[in-house]
Amino acid sequence: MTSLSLSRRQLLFALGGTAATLPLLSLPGFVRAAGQTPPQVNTLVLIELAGGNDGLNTVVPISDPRYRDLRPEIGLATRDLLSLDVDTGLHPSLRGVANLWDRGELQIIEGVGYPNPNRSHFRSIEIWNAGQGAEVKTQQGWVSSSFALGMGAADASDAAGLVLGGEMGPLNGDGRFSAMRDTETFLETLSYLQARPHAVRPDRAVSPLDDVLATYDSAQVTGDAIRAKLEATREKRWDFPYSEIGEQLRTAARLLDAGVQVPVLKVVQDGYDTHEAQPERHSYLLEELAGAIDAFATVLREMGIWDQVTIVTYSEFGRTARENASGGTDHGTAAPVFVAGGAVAGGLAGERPSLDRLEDREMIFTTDYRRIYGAILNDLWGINHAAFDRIGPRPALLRS
Amino acid sequence: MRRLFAVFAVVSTGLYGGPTIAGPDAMTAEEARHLISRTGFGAAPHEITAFMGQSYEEGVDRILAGLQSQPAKPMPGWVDMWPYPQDLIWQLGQTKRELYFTNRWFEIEELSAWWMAEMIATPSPLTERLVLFWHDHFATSFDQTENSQWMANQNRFFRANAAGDFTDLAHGILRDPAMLDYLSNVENVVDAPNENLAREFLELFTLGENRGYDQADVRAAARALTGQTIAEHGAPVHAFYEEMHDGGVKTLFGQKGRFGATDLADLALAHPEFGPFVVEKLWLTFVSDQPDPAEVDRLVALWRTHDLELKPLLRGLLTSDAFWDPANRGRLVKSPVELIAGTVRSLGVPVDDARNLVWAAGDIGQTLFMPPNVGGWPQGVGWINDASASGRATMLTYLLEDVEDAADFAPTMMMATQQPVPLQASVGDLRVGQTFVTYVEEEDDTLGAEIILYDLGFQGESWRSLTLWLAHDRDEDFTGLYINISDCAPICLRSAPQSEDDPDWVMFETWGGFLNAHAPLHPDDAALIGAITQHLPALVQTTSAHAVWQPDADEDWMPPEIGGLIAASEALATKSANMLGRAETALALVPSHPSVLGLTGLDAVRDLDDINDYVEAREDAVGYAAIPQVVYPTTRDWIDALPGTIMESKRVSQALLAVPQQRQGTRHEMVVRDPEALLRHLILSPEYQVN
Repeated sequence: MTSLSLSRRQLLFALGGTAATLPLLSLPGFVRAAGQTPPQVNTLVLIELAGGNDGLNTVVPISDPRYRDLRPEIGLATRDLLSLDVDTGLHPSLRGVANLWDRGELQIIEGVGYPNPNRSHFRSIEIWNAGQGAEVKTQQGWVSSSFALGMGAADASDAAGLVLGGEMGPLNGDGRFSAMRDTETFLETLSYLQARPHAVRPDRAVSPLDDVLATYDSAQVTGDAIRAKLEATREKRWDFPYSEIGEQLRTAARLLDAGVQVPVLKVVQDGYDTHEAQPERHSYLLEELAGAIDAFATVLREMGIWDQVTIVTYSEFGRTARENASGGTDHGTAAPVFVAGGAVAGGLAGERPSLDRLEDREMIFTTDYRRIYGAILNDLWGINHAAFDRIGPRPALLRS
Repeated sequence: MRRLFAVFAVVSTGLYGGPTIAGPDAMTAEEARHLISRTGFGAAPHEITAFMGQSYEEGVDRILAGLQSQPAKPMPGWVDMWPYPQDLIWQLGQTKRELYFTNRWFEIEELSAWWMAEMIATPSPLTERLVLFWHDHFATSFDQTENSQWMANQNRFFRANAAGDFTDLAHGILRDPAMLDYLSNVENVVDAPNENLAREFLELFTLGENRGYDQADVRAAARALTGQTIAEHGAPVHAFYEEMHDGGVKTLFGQKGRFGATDLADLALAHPEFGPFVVEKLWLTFVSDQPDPAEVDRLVALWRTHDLELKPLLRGLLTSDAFWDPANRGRLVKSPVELIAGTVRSLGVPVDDARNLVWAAGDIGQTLFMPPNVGGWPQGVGWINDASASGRATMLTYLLEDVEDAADFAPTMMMATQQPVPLQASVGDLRVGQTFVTYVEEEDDTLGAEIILYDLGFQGESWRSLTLWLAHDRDEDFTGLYINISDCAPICLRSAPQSEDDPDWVMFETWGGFLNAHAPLHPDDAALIGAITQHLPALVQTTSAHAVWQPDADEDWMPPEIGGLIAASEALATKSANMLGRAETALALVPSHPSVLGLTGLDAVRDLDDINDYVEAREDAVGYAAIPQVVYPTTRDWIDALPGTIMESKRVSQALLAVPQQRQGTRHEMVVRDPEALLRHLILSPEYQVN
């Protein structure tokens, strides 16, 4: 017997075997006539900073004396920071993001969180993914539940959303949400699915097998549509820094360049759980992040669609206000959210949490994360989500 | 009577959709397949045949009686070598450090291949399913620890307790080096508690999230776990340091006490809300995707009456009505490891390199020894999305391409695993394989230094290491030598005066000419001390050879200056010769065999540029073969071994799928025309993904 032909170099890490429930197909989207290309819809690019990004060393309150008290070892020196205004400095590794700030294309919403913060990675990201607060336990993502309310743009697209890294998260649930790691592997593996004639499926999955069957069909149908567009266009040589987040955003650019219609793309950068020796690791992570975002923005500007793309970063929680004895920080609460894009209204938004008034030793959130979700839905696609709007006024993300 | 019933039952099972004649007294082929594949990896024809006709209870008891606490295939040899000097290796320079960590990654690959081969060859697949379950439950990743020996020992710990007493698992995991490192408990000390392990112990290992504890309990649990760490000296094994422990009163689950790790585990397991979380997880693994609350309560009560012994709980699960309810067939999604190992086991085909199976499972989301986070791997439909669906199809396609001509299989040579290297020294010599100077501090006339003698032998005995702390005060004419004997206890230095604070340290202090040994030293101990102290200047000198070490921009460490240390050790040597007499034993500087330092391949790696070639060469080395107990040379042999007399295509389908394909009927003729095509069709069908 020959040894297995599974080639390690070719396939290791190549497939996006991520945890995700693939939702049921909603038939209307599937039977849509092929060949017509609607205009590019607004695209949201969600960047999950997995592990809990230290917001306090990302956007630094320069003028707050408490900052130095809480961070004697790992606090950043004012002279090293990228100054946004007299009170605010960006981590020095965020040069690529500061470029967007300088162009007025970056909005920083400070103090984002939710009531009764949970400090478990898994539970807190679930809360962020679901958008229903800390008391509701569901795997249904906020994007999929919002699109289920009605969303013309998603119906006309090739996929309602594509996850290019990490778990399905906000895209988990009913709707045409799919996942891929990179386009090349995507096309190769697509060919191994048994071609299945489409049968009518029950409306809801009542068994795991229904789910598997629906996923196989979805993989095939979504895959065929994306394949057609990829094969009709040539991949360009773009200069992205080599990193996982860089490769994911390169794939995002490739899909958009091919004209793939997809309202939501989700990528992930992992490694933010900096319990020890934070400074070096955090610098490295932020530099990777900023470099990838900068490259993505540059490519999209060249393509002429930067105005239709909005990047939003989020993390399951910020980190403890006070550094720990290991030169790191533990699981905390509120943190800033970055919103960037050609049409984004740049500037500082929200309210900076006070370092004098901590609750349970941690910062108190000032902007409920659901207000941002409401703003995304409204500003990008004109969806009014009553449950989000009830929480509080929506920040204005895009220039009017 | 039973036999007749069995035959009748088998005949009837071919009628999909019709009433299934199944009985607790005599398993049908379908039921036997269900029991085997739910408690193992797939089901091969001979296994189905072996269980048919037995009662449910007989079948379950037979499987439980077969549980093992030792692997059928021995673990790789390096697992039981001395723990490598992982915290010292960087002293030997960048090339050796790179080689060192490269070797650990090869070892985890080898260990993964060994485990995959064990899953395929074992007579007790349930044992391996349980080891995998605990690996997922107490998730720890090599990705972070980079210590292959820790991961191997953790696997051994899970296997020894796989179906034992949950209490032992809960207590043991709080002392498991890989876990202590992975969840930062090595950072958890009285002055600065770190909650990582404490939180996950409550949330993910015992009670389950939000089940009977709050943030204050997490804080108290963290304090209880302070001081549970990894030994600072000698082998990196579990250690408890009293001085790092918070001995104060804590309030945990409403009770007050000076709690430690043992109390934490005891209190968590005695907590009224303990039980359902673990039982539900076992239910989701073995029974169905929907735990029945009443049944969970019943099983928790049963488990408690058996003092958290796992075997009675497993028996309860596997004999439950829900387990045997045909409505629950196909309600579990196969994990990648289950899918890959199950296919190889079901088909009874040998695989010449189990590493390929490990990579295949990894590509679709489950890399052994590297769960994605402490929450473990996904479960159920969480495994399935568009990408993993096509990925699974891809991996199964590759797998089938290779097994179709299994008849040509000729087992190739297995990877030569490292065996402990015999250590050589002439009897009587002090032999030291490698000396490390890790720390020197000098101020005015005083000096303190840490020296580690690694891989040493004396008078026929061999020890991993001795950590020496040398203190010298020229002004006071004071010399102190403190020796950590944790790696050679209780063999060495039994008559030496112990430190009152820590029995792992023995001490020799001299003021002027006075040695403070309270009792006369045993002659052997005096000889060893004489040899170490009088050869110390030469040993320290050897470390200057590590000046190959180049300052690295990423490191803020510089090799210590050893000039003062040499002078201090010479002073010690002089005093030692005066007090103990001149050492009669010679010093044998026989460099350690590279494998003892974790540096296998050193002969081929001279500088960093050689490492890539080394990696290529090792990757191409022949791996572990994975050989099922019963091998079917051809597909025809496999089909002929299937029990029953119903139509062949149905027998094939029944053996491979937990639930029939939704659209069948047109494929029945396939087995006649092309049995391989039918097998392939079924294995690539979505239905094959569920169990």
